[in-house]
Amino acid sequence: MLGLVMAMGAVFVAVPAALLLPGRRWRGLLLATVPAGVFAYFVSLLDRAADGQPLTWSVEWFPSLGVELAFRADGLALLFALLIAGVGTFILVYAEAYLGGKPGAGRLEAMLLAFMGAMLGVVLADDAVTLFVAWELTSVTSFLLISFEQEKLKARKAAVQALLVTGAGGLALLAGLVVLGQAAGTYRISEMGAEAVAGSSLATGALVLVLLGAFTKSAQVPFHFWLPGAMAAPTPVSAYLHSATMVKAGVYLLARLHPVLGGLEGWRPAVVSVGAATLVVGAFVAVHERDLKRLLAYTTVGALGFLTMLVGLGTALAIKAAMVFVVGHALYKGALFMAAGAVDHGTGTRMVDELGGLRRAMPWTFAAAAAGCIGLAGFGPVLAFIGKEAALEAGLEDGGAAAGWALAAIIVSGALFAAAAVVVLRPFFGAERAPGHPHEGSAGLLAGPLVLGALSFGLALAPGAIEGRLIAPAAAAVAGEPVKVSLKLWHGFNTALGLSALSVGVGIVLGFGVPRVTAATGRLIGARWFPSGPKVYDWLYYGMQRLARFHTVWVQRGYLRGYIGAVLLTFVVLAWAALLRWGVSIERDWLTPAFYEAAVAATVIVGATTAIVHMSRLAAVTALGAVGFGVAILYALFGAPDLALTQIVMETLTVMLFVLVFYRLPKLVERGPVRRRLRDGAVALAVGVTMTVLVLASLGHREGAPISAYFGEAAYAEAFGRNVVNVILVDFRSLDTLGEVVVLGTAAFGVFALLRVRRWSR
Amino acid sequence: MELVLAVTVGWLYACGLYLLLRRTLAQVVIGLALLTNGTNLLIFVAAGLVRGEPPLIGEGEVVLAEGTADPLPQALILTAIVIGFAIQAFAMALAYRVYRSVGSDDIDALTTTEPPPPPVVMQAEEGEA
Repeated sequence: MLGLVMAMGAVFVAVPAALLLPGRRWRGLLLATVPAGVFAYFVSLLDRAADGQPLTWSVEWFPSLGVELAFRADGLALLFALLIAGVGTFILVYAEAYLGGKPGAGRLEAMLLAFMGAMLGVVLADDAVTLFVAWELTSVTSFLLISFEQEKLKARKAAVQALLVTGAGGLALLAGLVVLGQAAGTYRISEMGAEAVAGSSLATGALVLVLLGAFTKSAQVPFHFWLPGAMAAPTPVSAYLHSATMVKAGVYLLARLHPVLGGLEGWRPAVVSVGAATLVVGAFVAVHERDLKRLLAYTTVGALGFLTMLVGLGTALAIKAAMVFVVGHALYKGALFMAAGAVDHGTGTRMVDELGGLRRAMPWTFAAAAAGCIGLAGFGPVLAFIGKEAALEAGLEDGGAAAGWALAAIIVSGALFAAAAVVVLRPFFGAERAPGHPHEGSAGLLAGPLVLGALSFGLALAPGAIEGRLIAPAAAAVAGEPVKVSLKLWHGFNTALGLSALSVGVGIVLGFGVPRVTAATGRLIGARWFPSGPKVYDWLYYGMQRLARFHTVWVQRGYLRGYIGAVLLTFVVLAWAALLRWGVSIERDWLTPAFYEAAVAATVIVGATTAIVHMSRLAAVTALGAVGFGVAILYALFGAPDLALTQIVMETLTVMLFVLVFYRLPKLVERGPVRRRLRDGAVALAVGVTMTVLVLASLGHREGAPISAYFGEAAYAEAFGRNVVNVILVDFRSLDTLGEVVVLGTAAFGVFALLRVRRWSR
Repeated sequence: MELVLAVTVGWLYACGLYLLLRRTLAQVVIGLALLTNGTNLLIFVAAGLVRGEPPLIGEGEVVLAEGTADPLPQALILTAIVIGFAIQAFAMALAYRVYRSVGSDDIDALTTTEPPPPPVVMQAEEGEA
């Protein structure tokens, strides 16, 4: 059972190896053996999952919270795990060839491996918290990979954008998973019951939050814009994270939680509408792009919308279609991305309009791209076609309103995807045109796209290889019940095929006229006023900074009296709010003041008044002394001789210090207008009055027995001292006294340092 | 007496805070001293006033007699007096140092040490829109 953890561990162990190995051609191959081995291991688990006895492994993590480190390799998990390890194997080989010899290639491969480990964690996790941790790890590694060329502003900006969007979604997901865990009574995803969740008042909250997390990660409208931006990453990263694996994490999450949340009322309308909108928007914008990678990124957005929509529909047929399409898409899109990278590598550009006739110079790249484009167009003997036909059938069979919209979206986007495929293939035809001398890529660059492209055909021609062992268990895990899966390439002439043929045919015609056909719509979405995703993001991003600046400038004025005044007014308002809210009761069983007591108090008051009125330094120090000694006498009069003694000692020292320092400071002057003095006086007086009222009010509120009784009893019995105050200080609370000594010592050091500074700096 | 002392506390606070709001450095330090005394007296009064009965256990007795002053607030205030002194000493040294470094005892002369943040500039992307 440890195998699952060891498989993930092996991937992580390879991370430092990638950093340490020298940059030779065999490094990519060597590293690729790790995911290849992991792939083989996962294949060996397929039968167990198909038999309904998935491999599990768990260990307690936060037992008090019911959180475990738990993994479970059921059909759905294995389908994604195989994609991650399988595509990852080719990506590592490709990455070595793509960056061949450049410094940083090892770093890129290390981060790809780290991502791979995290992504395996996401799909294998059976505990909601484990899943979240792995999920966030993929966001972080994605950030690092997008910003791989960190010296470029564009890469850094795109990385921050992706991190902020997926990070914000991640927070929503965390909250959603916690709420879901509370509603279900467990964090074990496989043990969550749909009835328990549906019956909970938290269900809607959990659904909304989880959907936000899934939609941001899988680049659904309106959060889709970060994915094309992420194309700033090197091509291996785009092909792997931002097409085949990470962006499918959101779809995976929806599929994983479909048995739990799929029955909720809001699920179908919310997920299907967002998915359909994303499908159409992605396909529509893709046709307008001239940069191969960005074009592919938008078709990926569309494909993610397609998958989301299918999971949203949630019928057995739709789920089956989604599972087939997940694999089909990873194969054809992986091939296309890697082929686009090979074109970039061989010619120095990815702009469609600058390229032509490449099929002669780059025949193998052309073959891979053509295979990919058949998948993109969704018409031909490829796995994606089987998925799309199944989706059309699911839409036709369902008959509901949501299915109607889904069907429309598939047909419209089918045409647009076909048009996009034509655009992608254009650089290979016509007269030869390229900025540099186009040359075919090395074996490392071609192996990946060719194998994936070939698999796309092979699996479609022999679907029996995957239908029973891979697709059926995965679909069963999503549906929550066994799903019968038999895949066929040829269904005969039926409605689905007709719709498909029609939309693809229109699309191909459209594709040939692309620059002219899309001129008007291109102007529309490029218009200054058009609220495109990046613009809204920038508006929010810089708006936040402007708000922070405004707030800082407004609140942090840099004047001490401003800060103090704000604190004081807040205090007065809150204190009075509390007093009025709970009522002030002042009990008047006061001691009658003796005349000498009143005289001492009057001395203190006069002293304080003198300190604020007199502008002579000597008078101020004298007044301060009067206040201090007056307070000391008050302590002595009311049963606190120790306080009186301490106060007298400290007051003497304070007055001496004041005299010494004030002698070196300039004469006191009153600064600022009278108006300000009156305002400050009013604020100070308000606080003074509040304090007086609070003192009187506190006298009448004595709740609970004072804990002093214990000290009175234990002082002599346990500490053998008759002066209880002293016993408290040196015995019961001696650590506090030690702390006090430390404070004094620190202050002494501080004073010493402050007075010495000038001498040193001379 | 409680009323008299509560007013004294309030007045010490008012005077101390008024000085704390001044622009002259030395006045701020004096304000701090008044505030310290005010706070100590506040705890003292709020704990309840007892005339002339210090918390001492008499000869031949083993527990503190009823009706004596509460020892715990006194222990707290004793600590506070000493720490208050430390703070005042430090504040004075700081005031002196500031005056020597800045050449002024006007607190407003210190605001230039924290300039307002620079305006937000949108980073332009190179090449691509």
